Amino acid sequence: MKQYSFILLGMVLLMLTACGPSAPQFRGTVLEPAEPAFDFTLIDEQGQPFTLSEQKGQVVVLFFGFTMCPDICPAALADLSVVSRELGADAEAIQVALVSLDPERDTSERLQQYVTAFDPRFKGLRGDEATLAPILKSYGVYSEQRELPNSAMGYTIDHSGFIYAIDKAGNWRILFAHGTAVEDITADLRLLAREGG
Amino acid sequence: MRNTISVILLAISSLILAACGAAPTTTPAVAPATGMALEIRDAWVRPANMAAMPMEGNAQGGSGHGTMDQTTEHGSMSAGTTTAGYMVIKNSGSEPDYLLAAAADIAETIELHNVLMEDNVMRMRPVEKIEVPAGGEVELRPGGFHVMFIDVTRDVKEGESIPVTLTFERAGTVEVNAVVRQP
Repeated sequence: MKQYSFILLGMVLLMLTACGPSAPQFRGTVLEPAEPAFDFTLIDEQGQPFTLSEQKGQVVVLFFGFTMCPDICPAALADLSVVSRELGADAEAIQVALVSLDPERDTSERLQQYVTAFDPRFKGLRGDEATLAPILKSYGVYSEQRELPNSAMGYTIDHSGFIYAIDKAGNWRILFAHGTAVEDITADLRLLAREGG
Repeated sequence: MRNTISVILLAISSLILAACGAAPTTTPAVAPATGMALEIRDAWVRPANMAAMPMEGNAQGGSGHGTMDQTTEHGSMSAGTTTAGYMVIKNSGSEPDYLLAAAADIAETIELHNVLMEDNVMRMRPVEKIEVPAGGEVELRPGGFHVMFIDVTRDVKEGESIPVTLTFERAGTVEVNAVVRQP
């Protein structure tokens, strides 16, 4: 008799799972298990501190780059601005931020001018090398300054081009490789935006 | 006899006129530019905005960061606005040609760059020239070869047309009009 109740309970649970919302189908690389995103405080484009853990309730989308980046960074930010437009009202739950890998050249004013050209809501974050180092390590960001003696740029920054999505609870959930289709990023961010915070 | 001479004269002057007309001077943005065996299409430049760029001095105090041509451990380096230009260059000739340089009045320095992408890491490098293969084409595109405008001197607004002079090893100079737009 006791066995039957277990079986019944199992069936009820199965049915409940079936009825409830099925696991969201993300298109980017899902990090499982989702772990709290490494917390940091950087300075935003207004000169104000930006602390990741204080953004709970918002989906935070991070991209690591620099303003003199020739064309990959603008491509990623332009894609994210299209994503924001596509998201419509859901975009209000999303904060996109560029983290500068070139704090030497990227002042707050420079970052403001750069990011707001893509979307007035985008943030540009900077911090000195000591502040950046553990962040880059934690998110697996590759960044290396290269001297360019034959270029007026003086130096460039070789860097990885992933886009990171941190959910409303502060968990790092999704990683998008460079060149992920705008529709895929939009679909995933919409799912995250509609989750309870 | 007189008629024949006039016909010949007419033919000669037509030829001269045609020769002048064929010189690759300026071409409209949409029409392909022809410089010998080369045809350039879809030339475009990303918009660039000079607003709020610290051009001289620095409101942030004595740090010296962010000023143009600041002297740091990197010597005199640029910290100006940059933007990039792209196009498709087709070569119908039987010899390869090489894009050597680009010039335009929107930036202090213009270089040819390439982006190498390995394992999702981007590495931008200047290149001396960009090959346009014989009977083929090369595409300057985001994430690959591009014309890099360094220290942009004015706002480059969406919808504008920027005259760019390209120098090729064989074809010489070719002018194109690049449309300013987002990708």
